[in-house]
Amino acid sequence: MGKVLISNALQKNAVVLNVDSFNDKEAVFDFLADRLEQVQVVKNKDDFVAALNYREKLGPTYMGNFIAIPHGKSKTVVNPGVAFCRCRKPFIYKSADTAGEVKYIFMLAIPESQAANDYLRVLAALAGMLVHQEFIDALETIESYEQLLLIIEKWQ
Amino acid sequence: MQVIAITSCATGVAHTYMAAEAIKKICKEKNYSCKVEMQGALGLENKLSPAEIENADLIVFANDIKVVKAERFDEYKDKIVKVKPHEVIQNPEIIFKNIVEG
Repeated sequence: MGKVLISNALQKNAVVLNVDSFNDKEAVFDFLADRLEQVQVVKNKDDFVAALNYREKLGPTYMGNFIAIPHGKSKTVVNPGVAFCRCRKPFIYKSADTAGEVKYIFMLAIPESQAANDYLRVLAALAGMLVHQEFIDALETIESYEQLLLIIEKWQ
Repeated sequence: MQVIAITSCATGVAHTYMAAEAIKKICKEKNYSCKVEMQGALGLENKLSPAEIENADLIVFANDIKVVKAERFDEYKDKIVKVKPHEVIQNPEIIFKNIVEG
């Protein structure tokens, strides 16, 4: 995947590196869905939050290791996209029948149609990176959106 | 040991690829050979051949939806371990739960 594609799927205004924390999962859904609406990845934030909550019913998106990957598939998604948020302090993320402390949230927006495969490949590749401790460690050290793109490129 | 796996999930984007990576990582750490077929939103990728299925010592099904072309594995049911994608992501060792080492 090229640099253009990463920065198209993961836009600067959908990356927030210094949030203190969230009260709960609902708060982070609202916050990041709003960002995805701002960068025009989703048309309607509320519709997208509904899609996220639907996916939550199918199984946990808490992945251990301080990571959560909520994702929604919906007609309101214009293009596949990602929002990322890093918290200073972890919060309890309850998902399906599991719960755990979360600091890093990657929210994936997936359109109903599977046409935009290049973007989906970016999302899939990003998901794969999240099982590597070295990648998670690097997420803790970055200070800018540009540095985030760099560590993602390095991991491809 | 030769490990093969099939991963898939409801949305076909996140868990499918995370689970695949988690299985490849644990096998690499243990020096086991590993091939993972991903049945995700991008279609069927890295398809397992009949020879690979026959020669595998362990077949991992990490799915929360139905496996596509599952009949390929009908003769090897005793080698299959079934897990949920989120389980293998959080605890990759789970794929070896039926294996007695040594």
